Amino acid sequence: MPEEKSANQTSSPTIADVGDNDPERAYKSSTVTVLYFAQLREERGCSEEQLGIDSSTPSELFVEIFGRQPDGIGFAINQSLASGKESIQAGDVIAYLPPFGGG
Amino acid sequence: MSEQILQSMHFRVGPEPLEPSHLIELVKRSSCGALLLFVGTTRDHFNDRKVVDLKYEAYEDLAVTMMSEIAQEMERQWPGTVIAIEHRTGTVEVMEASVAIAVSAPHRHEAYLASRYAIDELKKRVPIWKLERFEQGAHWKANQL
Repeated sequence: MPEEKSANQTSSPTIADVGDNDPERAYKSSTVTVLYFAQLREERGCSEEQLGIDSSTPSELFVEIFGRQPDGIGFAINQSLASGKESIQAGDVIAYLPPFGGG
Repeated sequence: MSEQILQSMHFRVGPEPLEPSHLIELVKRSSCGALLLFVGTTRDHFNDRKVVDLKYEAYEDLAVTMMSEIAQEMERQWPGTVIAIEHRTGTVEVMEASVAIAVSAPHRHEAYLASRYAIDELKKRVPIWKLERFEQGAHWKANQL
């Protein structure tokens, strides 16, 4: 099970920190950028982070990160709205979108 | 005076204070006889609670993409409309503008419909978030759909 190393992350034992020096693990795991906004940003403690993930959908990744279902949360992958059920690819930029409040 | 080739849409999301009258200049066209400007400003109350200010946050690139999508729908539905949308991020004090939408169209019928569509769709689809700040506490306010 990959270890948690970044000071930014709350405890979430299934998510690998990209900053480790294990080249074999870096080769095996996918790295994505995750963006947080509004109340999710406050909860996570950062607006952006790099995460290594084994494979997942944005929806499943949300459950790994926050420990709950993404009820009412929208998804974007690489600046396009998404259902959250797409397969994540290495290098993707995933955004979790709480209900909007613009205007 | 020669006609410039002008874009039919303009979008901006950023922290600078809005100058709504500037959007009027952006959408003026000789082919349009009606021009509407909608400005959303910070209100001093939410239900019975006094609002100190609002703080907006945006996924800027996606917000502009969604504004562009909305504007393209407007052009298809009401041909000849010209659209400019700006949304401010960061702190917006009471009575200051958070959003400005200017629409010009050949006739007022389309202008009113397009202007209404733009703000309604923006509230549903554009990734911007609003923190309502009260004297005690703050709350991320989701738009009613």
